[in-house]
Formats: sequence, structure tokens, C-alpha cells
Amino acid sequence: MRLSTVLKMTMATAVVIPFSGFAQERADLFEFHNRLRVEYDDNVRQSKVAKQDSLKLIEEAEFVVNFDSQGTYIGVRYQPSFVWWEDRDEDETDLHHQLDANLSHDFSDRLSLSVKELFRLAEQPELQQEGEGAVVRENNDFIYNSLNAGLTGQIVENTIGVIDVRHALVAYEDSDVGADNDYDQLVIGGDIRHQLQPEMTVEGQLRYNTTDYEDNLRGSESVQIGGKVSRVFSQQMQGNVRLGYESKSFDSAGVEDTDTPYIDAGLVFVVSDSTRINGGLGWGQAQTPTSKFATQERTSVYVGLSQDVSNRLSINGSVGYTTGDFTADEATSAFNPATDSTGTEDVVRASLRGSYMLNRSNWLELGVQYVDLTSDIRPASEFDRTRVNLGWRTQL
Amino acid sequence: MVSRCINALAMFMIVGGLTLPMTVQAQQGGGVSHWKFARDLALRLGLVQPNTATPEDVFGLLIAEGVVPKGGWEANKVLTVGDFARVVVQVLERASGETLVPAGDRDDDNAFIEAAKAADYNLESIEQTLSGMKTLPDKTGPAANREATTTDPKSSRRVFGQPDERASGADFTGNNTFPSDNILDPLPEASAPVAPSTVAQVIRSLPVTPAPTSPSNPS
Repeated sequence: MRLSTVLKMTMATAVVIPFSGFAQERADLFEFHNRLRVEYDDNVRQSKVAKQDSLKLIEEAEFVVNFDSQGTYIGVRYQPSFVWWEDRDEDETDLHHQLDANLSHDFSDRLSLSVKELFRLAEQPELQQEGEGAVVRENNDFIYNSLNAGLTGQIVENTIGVIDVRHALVAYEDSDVGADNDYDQLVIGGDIRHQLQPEMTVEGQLRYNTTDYEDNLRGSESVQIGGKVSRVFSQQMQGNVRLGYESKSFDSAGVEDTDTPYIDAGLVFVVSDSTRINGGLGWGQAQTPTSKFATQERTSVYVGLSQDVSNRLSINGSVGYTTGDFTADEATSAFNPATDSTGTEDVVRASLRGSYMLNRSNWLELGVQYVDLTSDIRPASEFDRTRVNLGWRTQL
Repeated sequence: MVSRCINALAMFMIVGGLTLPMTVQAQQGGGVSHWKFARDLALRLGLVQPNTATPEDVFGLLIAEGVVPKGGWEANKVLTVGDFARVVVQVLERASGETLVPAGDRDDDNAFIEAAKAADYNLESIEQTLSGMKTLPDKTGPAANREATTTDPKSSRRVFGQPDERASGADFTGNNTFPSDNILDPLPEASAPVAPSTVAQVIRSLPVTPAPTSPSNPS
């Protein structure tokens, strides 16, 4: 079924492009990227108690084609990736597919349309504790699809309106996994954006969001009303703040409606020609990773640094921290007070990567990634993991 | 679920098929604004998706990549040849790892104009110039990180039950980010395929306004 889905998508894409009239236009931008990496993974099953390491070979290819003509363009990207695990006996290989397609059309200087499609098909096979046969991860093969269509129009000078509709779905291949985790989501958004000053934009935003899960435990309906301010402070600094109020109701019986504020903010700072820093934070209600809770109060922060050591050598580092608060008020009927706990779940992620340019088309990369999950609500899922990889990247 | 996915895709294809023939000739304008040019450039470089970013978002991403006109980005300011050349050279430097304009000459717009021409960018056509550019080789700007903290349901952030199992062997901070950590991880919007939606429109508009001091006025 999954293969047929990919084939259908590929065929549909191939059919649409010639019929769109773009066959007469040259594909003025075709790109091919490839990344081949050898990676050491110290915890291939994300287990807390019985870590097992493995070498991996990761091959990622990426094909990009863009067409543009008179205010209209299509971009299509296909990226298959293959992972071979030297020491993962249950299944030595994973094969993933990513397909992105974008369409944008300017009807006039004042009105434009954008359509964006994202499709993912991923293999995440069942994993078992070595020697014990205990399942540490069920078959998590899944498809993900997100379709977004937006219309942007100029209302008056310096003021535009945006209407967006987005539909997303996640479907797992394993029916048992899917029974808990399959969902689809519909978001409708409206923005009024006004250029207040040359360097500052203010927005009013309205969002309607409905999320349906197969088991109805985490389904919800919400409305966000808020605004956003974006400002270029200087040649070296830019920032934005988004905040508002969210009213949310839940499908799960016994979980009361919530009314909470939300906020997120980001800042980019160019310290010098060779050093750039970015950071941000977010706080608000969010989906949960387990059907035992209908929602969580999530706080996240990040900071990143890009440093050009020389013309050819650059280093990028990033640290992110997220904590979710899960309380009894948001517990669903799947929550058993006798065996389950409320509390927090924390995720720390850090990454450092050096990239050395061999020539205009080839780079060498050395990267380290670290992830740590600690959880009161699902302690069996806790783990930490470190990965180190050496890769060769090429772009044609 | 699978059928719904296929249906959603079919909807996209239908919308695309119906919309594309409806191309309208762009209206003539009085020069190219920083915002329009920055949007086209950011699209070409793979930094943003069409219609998803405000001018300040786009400017921020370009600033983070070290791509800034001499006086900074201003949404309504008309692009000059000096601005154009400077930005083109900055992108070329970013992509090649080479310094095309020495540190002592970087205040001089003419040095950037000459450097762009030396790199076979004649600056007479924005469309031609942009079409010669490719997505930046290492998109490690703030887009992916920012996606991780957004509270906007319009973003493509998704939720999965299994933390930290990647779907494509990609990096947290790097190009093609697609680790499926249960809450944090974004989809790789910032690195998805893009082409400038209005490059054709821009090139069919009036040429860029010349810099007063430019000896290489294309108009």
C-alpha cells in the first residue's frame, strides 16, 4: 500500500507539471544534493536500561526541480534516504521517502495564491530488547501528509490580508499503534498584516484548529486570537513576538475546557561578519505524546550559534530545551491513577556540526548530536543518546 | 487514512492544475522594493516558503545568513544597483567560501559591482541573476529552530509517539531536518524546494533603480 501511494504521488506530480503549461518553460533550476555519512550511534533502541551501540551508514539523495514563469512557479523536491545499521538485528535497514511540492501564483501585484504539499513515508520497524525479546518499540512505520493553501491580498497600501487552510494527517501502518496515535488536523487561519514603519510590521491573527484522533482521547478544538510584531532593529538584529489567547475544548470526557495565553518569540543577532546568534522561546498548550493526557502546557527555548572560522570552515551549534507539564486535570480515561503518574517531561537536545568546504560542490562534515528525554508520565521511555557522524556532502 | 492522504494530494494537484493556466501578466511597477527582492532571493536560496513569511521574517533569515544591503533591509525602500550587487556578492561568498571583496573595500558599492561582474553576474537582470543561484549549501539559519518553539498551529510541526527516531537520518540543526522527536521537531520547511514566485514578475517590471554613484548603471 505504501509503495503504491508513493507511485501514485510521483505519477500525479509528473502528470500535473506538463499539463500546467510549464512544459514549455525550461526547468531553470535543477539541483541534486547528496549526503553520505558514517555515524556512530550509542543507543540505537533509545533504551534507558540496555543501551546498544551501532555504526550506521546513511545515504540521502535530494532532487529539486523548480519551474517559474510570469509570476507562477512550482517547486518539487524528492528525497529518498537509506540507513543501514551495522548492529540492529531486528531490521538492518530503513528506507524513507520525502516529497515536497510548492505552487505559488501571483494573480496580480495585489493577490497571490500559495499551495504547499508535504508528504513523508517512513520506516520505523519494531525493535526488541536484545536477548530478552521484549518489544521496546512497536512497528511505527507511518505516513504523514500536510497540505496548505493560502491566499494573500493587499487590502490597502501597507496592509495585506492572508487566509490559510492547512490539513495534516498522520497514519501508522500498524493498526494497534494507529488506534492510539493516528490523527488528522484542520487549521484555518486569518491574518491582517500592516507595515507600521519601514522596519516594523504588526499583525492581527485568528486561528481555528480541530484535531481528531482515532481514539478520540486527544481530540480537541481550539481558537486562537492574538497578534504578532516583527521588527528589524538594525542591520544586525531582527526579532518577533507572537502572543494571544487560546480557548480549547476536548473530545475526551471529563477534561474541562481551557483558556490560556500563548507566546513565542525569536531573535536573530549578527555579532560580526563571521558570527551569528539566534534564539527563541515558546509557551502555550500543545499536543501530547501519549493518549493519557489530552493536552500539556509546553515551554521551549533554544539558542543557536553559527561561526565562520575561515572562508571554508564553519561551525554550527544549537541547544534546545522543552518541558511539558501534565496534570490530572488534563488526564483522559486512559490514565490510571493507580499505575500512571502526572508530572513533567523534559527533552534536551544539543548539536554541533563543523562543515569544511572542499570546493564549490563538495563539503566534509563532522557532527555530534545529543538527546536526553526524562519523563514522569512515561518513565519507561526515558533515554539519552549520542550520535557522531562524519559525512561527505555534494551539491550539483 | 491512506485514502484521505491520497485525496488530499489529489486536491493539491487539482488546485495546481486549475490555477497555473491563470497566469496574469504582472503590472508594471516603479522599481523593485527591498521586500520583493528579498522575498525572491530568500525563496531562491531555500530559506522560506512562498507567502509564509513577513518581510521581517525574510529579512531576519537573510541577516542570519549575512546577506544585508549596505544600509540594512527596509521593506519599502527601492533596491539600487549597489544594494543588488552587494547582496549578490554576499550570497556568492556564502556559497563559495571565498572572499570576493577585500575587507578594505567593503564600504564601496562599486567594489561589489565589479566583483559581481567578475563572477559573470552582469546585474542587468534580476531574474537572470537569481536563476544562476542555488539554494545555500548549509541552511543552518534560525528557521528550523524557530519552528520548534512556535505556538502557531499553521506551522507544520507534528506530534509522534516515539521520540528521537529520525525519519531520514537528518541533523537537528542542519539541512533537511527531519528527526521525529515527539514534540520539538519541525518539518524541513526551510529546506523544501523553492523557486521565486515573482522572479518573472520582477524582471518584467522596471529595472532596478541605479545607485547614484554607480558607474555601471544598467539602465
